[in-house]
Amino acid sequence: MFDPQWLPTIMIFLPLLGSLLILITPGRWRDEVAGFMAAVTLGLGLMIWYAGGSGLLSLNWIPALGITYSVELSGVSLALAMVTAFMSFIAILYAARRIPNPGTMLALILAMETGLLGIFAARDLILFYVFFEDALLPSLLMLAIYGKAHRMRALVKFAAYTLFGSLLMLISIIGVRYLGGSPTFALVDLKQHLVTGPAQTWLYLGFLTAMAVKLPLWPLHAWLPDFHEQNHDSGIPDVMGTLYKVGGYGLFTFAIPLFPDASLELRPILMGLAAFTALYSAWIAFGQKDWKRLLAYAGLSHMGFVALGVFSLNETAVIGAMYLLAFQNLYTGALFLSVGMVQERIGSLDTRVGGLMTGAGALGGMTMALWFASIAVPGMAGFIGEFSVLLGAYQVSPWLAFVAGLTVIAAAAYALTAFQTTFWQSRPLGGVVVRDLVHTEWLILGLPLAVAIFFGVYSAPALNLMQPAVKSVLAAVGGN
Amino acid sequence: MVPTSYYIALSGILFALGMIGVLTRRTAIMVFLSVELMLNASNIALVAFARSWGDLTGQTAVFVVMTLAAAEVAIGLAIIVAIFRKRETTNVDDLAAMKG
Amino acid sequence: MLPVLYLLPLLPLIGFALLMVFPRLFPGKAGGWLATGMIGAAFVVAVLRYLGQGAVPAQETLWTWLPNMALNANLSVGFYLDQLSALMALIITGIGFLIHLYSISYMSHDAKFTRFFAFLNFFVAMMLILVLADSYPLMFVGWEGVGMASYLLIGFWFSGRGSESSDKDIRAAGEKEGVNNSNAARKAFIMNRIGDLGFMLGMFLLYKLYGTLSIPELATRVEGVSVATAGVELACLFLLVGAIGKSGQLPLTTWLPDAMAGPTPVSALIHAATMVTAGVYLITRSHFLYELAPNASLWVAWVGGLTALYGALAALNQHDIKKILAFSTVSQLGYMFLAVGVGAYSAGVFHLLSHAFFKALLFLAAGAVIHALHDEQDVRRMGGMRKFMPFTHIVSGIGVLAISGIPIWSGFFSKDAILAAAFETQPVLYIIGLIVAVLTAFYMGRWYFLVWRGAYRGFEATGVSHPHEADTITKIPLGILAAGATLIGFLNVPTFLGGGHAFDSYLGRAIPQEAHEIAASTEWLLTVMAILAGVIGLLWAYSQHRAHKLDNGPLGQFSSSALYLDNIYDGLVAAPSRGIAGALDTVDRGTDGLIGSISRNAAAPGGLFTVWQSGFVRAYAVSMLLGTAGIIGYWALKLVGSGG
Repeated sequence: MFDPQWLPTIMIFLPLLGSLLILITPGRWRDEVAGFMAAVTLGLGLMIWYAGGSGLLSLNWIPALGITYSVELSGVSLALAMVTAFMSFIAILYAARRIPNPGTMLALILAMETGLLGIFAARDLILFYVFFEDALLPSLLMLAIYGKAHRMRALVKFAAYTLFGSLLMLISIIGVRYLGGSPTFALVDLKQHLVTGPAQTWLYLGFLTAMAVKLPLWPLHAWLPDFHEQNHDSGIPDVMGTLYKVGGYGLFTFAIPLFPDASLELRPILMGLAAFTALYSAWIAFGQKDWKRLLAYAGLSHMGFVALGVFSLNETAVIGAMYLLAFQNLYTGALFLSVGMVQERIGSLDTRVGGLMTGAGALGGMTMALWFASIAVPGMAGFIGEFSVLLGAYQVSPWLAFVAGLTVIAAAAYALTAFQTTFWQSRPLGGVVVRDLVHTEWLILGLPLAVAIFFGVYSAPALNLMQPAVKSVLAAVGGN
Repeated sequence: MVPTSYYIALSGILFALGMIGVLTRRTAIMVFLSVELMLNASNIALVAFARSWGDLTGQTAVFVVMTLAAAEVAIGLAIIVAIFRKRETTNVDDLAAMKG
Repeated sequence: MLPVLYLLPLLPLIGFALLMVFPRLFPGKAGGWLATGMIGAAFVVAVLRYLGQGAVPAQETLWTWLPNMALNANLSVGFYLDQLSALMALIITGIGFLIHLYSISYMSHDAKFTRFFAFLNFFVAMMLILVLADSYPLMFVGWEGVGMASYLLIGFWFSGRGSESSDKDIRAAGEKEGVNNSNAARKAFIMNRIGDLGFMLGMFLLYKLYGTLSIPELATRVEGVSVATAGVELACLFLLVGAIGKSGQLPLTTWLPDAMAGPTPVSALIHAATMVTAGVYLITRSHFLYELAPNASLWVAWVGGLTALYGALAALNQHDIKKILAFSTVSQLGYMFLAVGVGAYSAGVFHLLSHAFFKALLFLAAGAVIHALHDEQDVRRMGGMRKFMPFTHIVSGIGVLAISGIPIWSGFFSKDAILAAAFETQPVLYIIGLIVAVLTAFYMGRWYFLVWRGAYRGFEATGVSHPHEADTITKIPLGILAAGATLIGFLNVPTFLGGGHAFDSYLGRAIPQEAHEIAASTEWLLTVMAILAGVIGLLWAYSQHRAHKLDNGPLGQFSSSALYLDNIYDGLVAAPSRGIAGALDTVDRGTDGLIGSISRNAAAPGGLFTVWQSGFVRAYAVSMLLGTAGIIGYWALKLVGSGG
């Protein structure tokens, strides 16, 4: 069989190829081409999984600067890449149905998928940086082309936050190599040449800022609600935006191995910040009246949990954080799409419509199930993540785990309130009777839900991927 | 043999004329002509130095500049024609859309 | 060959999946029969497993589930069958089966008939997972699962039953009902979540102390590893918070009466017989921890005692036929907590068993009455129903006698055991228990007399001149439950009455029993006191009935608004948290604005450079010229300066 080393490279660049192909494909075949490319990418992911990870492929890219092309998909990164491929596929399914003349959107989704897969596969800091920025462009374009009235404001804010963070990251990436004296930017080399002392802390802070923007973590989160609110009503760009919240992954793969002492040193502060983010945003979500903003804050709250898990450096918590990071994409993304379907039917994103469920029982039922997944009801994938994070964090800091735990209550409050006022209660007099799910809409909501339930009940496949990876990363830190 | 300084003086005069043209003329065509004049002024200087040093590097550079100038003429004139079609003017002061 | 344990939750789960995914395959009442059949099959499994129990508890492990949460290993999904869980499985499937059967008739006119049964099946599956779990996290799956089912079923009529009507008044009433039902469902879920947080914190702490969350492993570790008592006490208190949330104990009690917004079979199954007793089950299951934590146990007992009193006081002046029963459930659950708190686990579980029978019976009878009167629930508009519904009247009478603690009915034996245990350890709690017994008999007497005796007062309000007796499908479960409510008590006849404590010794194989040290004469005295309490309460109700003063029970508004607890919570918690949410939103946008203005100020100097970008080509040319001149001038000066 084919050497699995090369599979990640193919998997990364296949969507980009598809995105270019779409530009030259006649209009009536674009949906099929995009769907096919996304499906093949997902298939490649399955092949890598079947082969038990790809192994590291390392080539010189710019030898003069010590930049290598090192990619690997295994463990946590493989799980995240598969979820990314899966949700991109779902987004393409929905875009083909929902957006008139969807060529541009399909191309952007595929282009973004390349960037995201690259982020997960990169094992060289500069390569990581390149893909990190590469994924930004399609998401900015989606906002610029398909966004709503105030999109430019949201766009500038999003770009400014991200680029500011990226600049600090680039500086610390360069610092890590030159202060540590590593021959290349490849992760394996950098791990051999760690920076020590206060310099490590400063470099960590630089790296952390970029990741905190992308997590996002309070107080660098302000771009997120506007970004989601101003994006296209269908929620497709929001799915991709959710996938782009890779801060937790970056911290796990690069920050913990490269800045072990600083991670330990700053642990209490960062855990506090993460727990605060989780509770703070859940509470704000409770007061939102726009579905997109509500989901943005709900997602932010999940990210608070992810950050809490990663920062705690406790094995169980880190596994939980990665589990949550991977699978929250499924239900948060699907919720954005279900909200898009609601908007398609009633032309509004307000959370106080009422009575939708009388007409659209299946849409309401699926949305409710997705909400239950989102608020980490056991039996769904989110629970394994959140429970492990909280349990692990409790071992490190009981009080912070308690603060984050309060989110569990707030989450029930915001989720059920919004659901109730939109889907339950009675239909306002003269309100339209909404159509229930049709055609592919069943798959678009059903598939993510089914996967979320499957991995909530039977976690072994994902756990077998993540557990060894987390163990080996945490071995570098030594402590608990 | 004519001393090198004469060539340089000629080149300097031509260059100054071209520069004055660029700065004072408002018609894009004239600006363009003046730029060409400046390029050729520098060509003269390059050739003169090449001869004076007995080195062919200067002459090579002249060929590069000439090729460039040819390309510039092709593209630049096309742009000017396109602008004229759209705006019905070639006055460079009217074409200030790039104001920051 | 015994059937495997996972069949128990799996069978109803299959029913749920079938009914949810392919509702069109089950036209008419087929869905109801399928769901009932699934529960019946599960009941058969439960009976077989009960009969085939060995000396050692059965543990059947399925697959890996949670990372690192067993002792140095990943936690697996596994089921555990000992005497306690076998008994619970029997109660859940047995009573669940009867209530499913009843619902086929009760819900037959509902548009969402099939979905109702799907949810009921889901509930039973989750409840079985809860009681059969071999680890706390798996128990938590069932724990939140039943909460979810409860949410779905309380909010079953989420849009109100008349909200699509063309009549304006019916529509308005329907809309109001929709909002109330939805709010009740949400309240139940959120209050349960508060308890769930306690449960979770308890698990975290247990893991910190013992390094495992598997219950059998914990039970052995607790003996081997010595940890600070304070830690165990705290863990037990956390678990108590969880139990309080699920069982509607003080201070998280107010959702349970509101939960009556659901259809009556739901109230009977979930909010009386099974789900709300999960808290009692949790504490009994964790008895090995509570035995190490005397203070936490005392807390359990006091929470139970006070809740029993609270529920009884609130039940005195309710007017809704189901609300009276709901507050009674709160109060009876308080008894169970009191029992397990003083270490009388067997008495608590026995009361759970008998309560499941008589309370399910009372709710189903109430449902039959509500049906007969076309959804009228106000007891002041009933009365004299015994003439119209003789069979239901008799079984209701049995239920009232059972809950009032009149011998030979089951409530007498179970309540007597609890009071005896309380007398031994906490005399103050005993007194409270006795008072509650009097109040219980009174409000149940009031319920009985208002509904069944006196003259029929419902005609003006309901327009039903001649209420009809329940149909056969309804009568079968009522009859079986009535028989159970009568006979179940004989399972556990105490020694001084010539019995053998059969139930105690059965359960004792799983849960160690405290030795009975009370002298027979004292026991007699206590028994007489308990009977007297019941009789006095019933006579009190009867005398008030004769005086026609039952419409308004004692304590007036104080009781009918449930001691104002709801108002207090709304003022202290709900309103402020809504306010804070709004304020935080403002702050969040404000933070954003602040950062925005900083960035604008930082960007302002950039405006200076834009002047330069005038857009005039010739101005750019001048800049270039000046720049070139500057560079040349610099080099020229440098050349001149260096003397070259």
